[in-house]
Amino acid sequence: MGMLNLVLTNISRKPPTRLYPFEIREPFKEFKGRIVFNPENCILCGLCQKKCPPDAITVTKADKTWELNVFRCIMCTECVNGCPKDCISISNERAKTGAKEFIKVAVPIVDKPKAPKAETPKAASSK
Amino acid sequence: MTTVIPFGPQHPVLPEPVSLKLEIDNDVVVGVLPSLGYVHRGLEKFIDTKDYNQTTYICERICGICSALHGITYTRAVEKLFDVEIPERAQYIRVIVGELNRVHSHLLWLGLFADGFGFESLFYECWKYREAVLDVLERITGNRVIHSISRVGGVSRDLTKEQIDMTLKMLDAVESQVKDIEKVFVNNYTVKQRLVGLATMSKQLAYEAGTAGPTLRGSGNAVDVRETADWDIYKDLGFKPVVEKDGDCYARTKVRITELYESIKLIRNAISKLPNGEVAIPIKGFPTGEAIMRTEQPRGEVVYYVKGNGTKNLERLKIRTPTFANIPSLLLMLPGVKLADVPIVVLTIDPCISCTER
Amino acid sequence: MLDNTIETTEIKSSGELLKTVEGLKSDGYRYSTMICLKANEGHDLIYIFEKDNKLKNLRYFVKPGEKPKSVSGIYLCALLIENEYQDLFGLTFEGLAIDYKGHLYLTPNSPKAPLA
Repeated sequence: MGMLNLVLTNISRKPPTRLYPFEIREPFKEFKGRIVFNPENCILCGLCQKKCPPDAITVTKADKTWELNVFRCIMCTECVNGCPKDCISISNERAKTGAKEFIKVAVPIVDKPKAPKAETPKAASSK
Repeated sequence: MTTVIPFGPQHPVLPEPVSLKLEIDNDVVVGVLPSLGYVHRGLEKFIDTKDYNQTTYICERICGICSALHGITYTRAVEKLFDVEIPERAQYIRVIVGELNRVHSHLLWLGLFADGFGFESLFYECWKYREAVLDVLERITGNRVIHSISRVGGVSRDLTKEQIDMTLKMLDAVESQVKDIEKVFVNNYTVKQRLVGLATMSKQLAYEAGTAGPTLRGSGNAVDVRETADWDIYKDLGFKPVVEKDGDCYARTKVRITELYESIKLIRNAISKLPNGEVAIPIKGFPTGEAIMRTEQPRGEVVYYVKGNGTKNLERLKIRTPTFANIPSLLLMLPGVKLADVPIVVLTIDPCISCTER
Repeated sequence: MLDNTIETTEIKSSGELLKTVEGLKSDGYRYSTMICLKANEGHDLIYIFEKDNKLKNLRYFVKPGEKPKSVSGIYLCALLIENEYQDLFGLTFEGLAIDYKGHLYLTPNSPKAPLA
């Protein structure tokens, strides 16, 4: 009686779906959730902007800002692998729906070898 | 007297828009005129603005279901231009991700097909099993659908021991689940009544119509790109093409189900032979020359032509996707089929329209 | 194994092209695809055929203003790719099995011949 077997197992087993908005699965630790930018070591080289396939990253040297257009980002991690100072990392936390379109971070250039830019605290405080 | 009935662009069995103008005589199709152009995005033009590394991501976005294999084919084509051989471990990881991609694509198709002939619960079962494969792909690559694993010079992520164990565990589960649904697809009386002898293509006809993939192999032609010199690695893994000789919808379904077992076997072999070492090598300079690369995608053979001219942008990228080759076969298959069977016949070529139009 | 050139057979005239393609069909070759490139004011067409996992490529140069002959009379499946190049490169193929007149992908108000 294959049919009876099937009916009984289907009655007794848990549904394979989740009650989504109330019950949210933890994201996997390998999941590419969102880009995290740590401005401390950034040297504003602009490599991430150059490598970004959808042109989501804008690095402005004059204003010392690093800007990510979250709506354009495709989570390819080209910037993460390309950053010479390892400033960009990826977090497995899911980005919230309806988050702000732009993430703008002011970059305090700390260890620039020449042309001492001592006014770094000002740039950091402007954030 | 014939009547013209439009099939599509919106139709319950079609996930993507394609329109077929069917000439009907007494409920039987006598002529077909496909019309495309609903999702043409001009991606072959768009690569003018991106360099050869960034183009990988454009190629992956041609199609959501076979995206990993689009990326793998493109990167291999560009590696041909550079004349480099990537590390062996990277090649094995590409095979593992590519075959996982095929497993999830075939399960998706089986579900859609079951839905197409009105077997709703079978549709749910197939997609439930597919979810386990997608979870594994998400844990290997970080993304659920568009994996971005392959890049010029290797792969972007390495496989860890934990991921390998999880993949093997999933494969065991999926293999037994596929055995369950195979019983229904192959033995069920209703399903057989619907599929056997429908839209038969002879071996000769399918070959001359230039079809690709399961449509071609379902008609008895043992043509599979995984056997070619470009893919030596599959020879080491003990690959054998899956062929059915009947050439009807039932045979094409059986090819896809058997390919699921073949893919599972290939992934197991690839994992057991996975060598150690690097997963990517740096690539310097700009591509020159021209190259043709072919890969067996879930839907059939994809042909990539790339031409570089020594600048960072490629001069020309041409992609012939499997559905593009299979659409003309509809012109030969559909005449003589009843109107009620048209959705099933259209589904058996596994149409992917955004692939076709790019 | 990896290399950055492809072997092609030059074809001089459209009559020779049709004859060669017919010969390939009787030899049991499968039509794979055709590639169109811009070259020296005109266009280069590379026809790709496949048999026993080996490719055979024919290269045919289309002079500016020339109307190449369609091979869709020999291989029906060539009609889609030839119609695609009518759209994207502005070529005109003679003797197409189904002629979409440059509207396979594009509508009357889309850009004309975007890849040309």
